[in-house]
Amino acid sequence: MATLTPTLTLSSSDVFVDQPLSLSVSDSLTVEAPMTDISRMNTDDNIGNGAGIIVADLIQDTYFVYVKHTGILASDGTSKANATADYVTLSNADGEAGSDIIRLYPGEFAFFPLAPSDGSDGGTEAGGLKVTAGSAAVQINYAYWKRA
Amino acid sequence: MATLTPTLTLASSDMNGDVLNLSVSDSLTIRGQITTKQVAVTTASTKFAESDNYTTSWVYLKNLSSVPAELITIEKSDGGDEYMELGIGEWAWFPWKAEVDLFADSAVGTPTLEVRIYQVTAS
Repeated sequence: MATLTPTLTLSSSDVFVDQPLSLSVSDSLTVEAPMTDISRMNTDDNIGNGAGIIVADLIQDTYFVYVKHTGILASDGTSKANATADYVTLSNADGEAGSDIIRLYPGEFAFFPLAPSDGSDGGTEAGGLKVTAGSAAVQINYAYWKRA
Repeated sequence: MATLTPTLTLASSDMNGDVLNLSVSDSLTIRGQITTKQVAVTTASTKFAESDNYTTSWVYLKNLSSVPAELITIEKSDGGDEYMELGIGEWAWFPWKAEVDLFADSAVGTPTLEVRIYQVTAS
């Protein structure tokens, strides 16, 4: 087992007229394998679960997940992604409509505890996590850790 | 229009035989509404963000409970697709497409969910 310490700060000097925003939240998470270090993949890569699938479906554990859109096209690993067309959608591993609530544009990132599957592909939640490019395939950074 | 700067750090000294020390930041333009509230979540599922009332937004959620059994599930509807599961003190930060409503459902009890929504566009 290991300890993961995620910290998020949200700051703004002009989001409200009368006061700045300065929020900082941290946590101490006990995690265990399977887990990754920060990794990189193309949105159409198969890292062992199918094209674009980071966490396989039917996994009945909670995973903490980090995903960042690098803003780089997968085609050559150098060219910049289109700022509006080349987004990345996050969905369950089956890519079901309605499970795709998160869309990342170049430079954007997300961190969240992915809900476990109910163990049935036809159930409430097939589970898992898949990334799908809006247009051209792009590179993402990702990591996941199983909650112990 | 306002600028919101989120910064995420991920740190660990005892995993993968390596030190994890990631820090990422972004600069987000916020032109629309901002919602900051706490929601009493029950086992009956509570809608806390209605898609008709928002466009693409950044969402921060935190389970404020101190009772370990009081997990909060973020879902599409009561009994619908489940997206996230927040244990006590756990939080999430993500861009919400605002195409489906967001509900919260507790495993047991009535935990409090902190909700902050920052809408990207003016309307």
